[in-house]
Amino acid sequence: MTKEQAILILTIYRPGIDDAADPEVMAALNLADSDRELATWLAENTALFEEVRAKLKQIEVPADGVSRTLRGRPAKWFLFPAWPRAPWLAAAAGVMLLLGLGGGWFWTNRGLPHEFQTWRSGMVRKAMENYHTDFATNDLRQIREYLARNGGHTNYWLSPALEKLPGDGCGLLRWHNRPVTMICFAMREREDLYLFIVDRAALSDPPTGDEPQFAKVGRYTTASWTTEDKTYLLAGAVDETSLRRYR
Amino acid sequence: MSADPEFDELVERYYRPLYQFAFSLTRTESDAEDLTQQAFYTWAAKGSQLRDPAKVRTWLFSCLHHDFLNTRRRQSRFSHTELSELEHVLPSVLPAAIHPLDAAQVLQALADVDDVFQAPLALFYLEDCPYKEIAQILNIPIGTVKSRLARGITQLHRRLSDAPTPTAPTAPTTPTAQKELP
Repeated sequence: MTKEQAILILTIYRPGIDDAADPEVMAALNLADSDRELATWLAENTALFEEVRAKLKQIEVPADGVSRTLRGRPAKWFLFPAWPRAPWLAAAAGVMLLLGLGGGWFWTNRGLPHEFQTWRSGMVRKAMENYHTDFATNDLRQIREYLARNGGHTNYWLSPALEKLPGDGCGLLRWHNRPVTMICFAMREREDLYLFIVDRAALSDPPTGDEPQFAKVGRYTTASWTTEDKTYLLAGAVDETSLRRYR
Repeated sequence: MSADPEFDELVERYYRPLYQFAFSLTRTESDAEDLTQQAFYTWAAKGSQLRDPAKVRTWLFSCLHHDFLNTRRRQSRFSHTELSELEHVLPSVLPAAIHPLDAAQVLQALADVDDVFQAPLALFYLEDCPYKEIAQILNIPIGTVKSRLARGITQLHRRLSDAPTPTAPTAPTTPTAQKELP
């Protein structure tokens, strides 16, 4: 290990908090033991860490913050309105509620194919929100393995340009009770690219053929195409020329 | 008055660290307070879904950070770099070259580092969070956490070394120390 490597590792090392038994940390600490300059730097770095931490912990907290939070908590009755006291009324209300919920569920999950455009807008909205990936990694192979283990699409096709990008993570989404796989690709200094995959049968009017159709949805450019039994949607805050490179 | 002792205990226990984290991100009392309250209210509505009580802290911080990003529309999608790729951005300021600090300077320096480094740094300093927990809170890979911390600390040290001496504002300015590394 070089001194530069040791400095890099020890820059983020917090004695007593981070694992000193980690092989890299251990090697860096051993080097510091035998190198006086590095040892001095480490002592100073640790002292500075303590000082910055102490100062940040001085951030003043509103004295009544706790009590205001407790007072402002949404009451439970807001979520569960008072139930009718008469048993027959409660039973009737229960039946009505179940019918309503059941009807709503049936209406939205009839298993009928839905319009492609609605799906595309929904997916772009997902991308524009701050997504929470189910699995975060840069490794596309691990993403494929994760999807295989968790019921996502597996035999999907990635263009060579996408294969070269580092992953950012993946998500398993539901859309009208249909599974949708989301794969995020990290772009240097830019927002991620998103690839959504859904079964072709889930859509009433999927894009026909392998040739991508480009469309602007909000500030995102999208490319969509269908290959075999799957429909793909690639979306990103880039222009069409840039997006073409990844398809 | 709340009738839920579990909720009360949670607020008592985590209000301070959550607020400090929120403030380090927003630098505004009202925003920090809103974010902190919202994290607890979200927990009140959805927290029962959390099966592992040991993960309450991670859940609350993650929720707050998510709300922060949503509120500010600051996208957290930046390039991901591994720590080993960062030798070219090694800290160029010796820690000892940084004069005694005051809290306002540290906050200002934290505000001046790139957005993407601020949340990892706040968790690193304020919460003694292990890298793995920071990764879970921010929903990014652990390698990315380490690289963001290394770059963020380097930027922070630079900003701190540039900051004026807090104890003697009228004294001649301390020359910015950019000593070479050992």
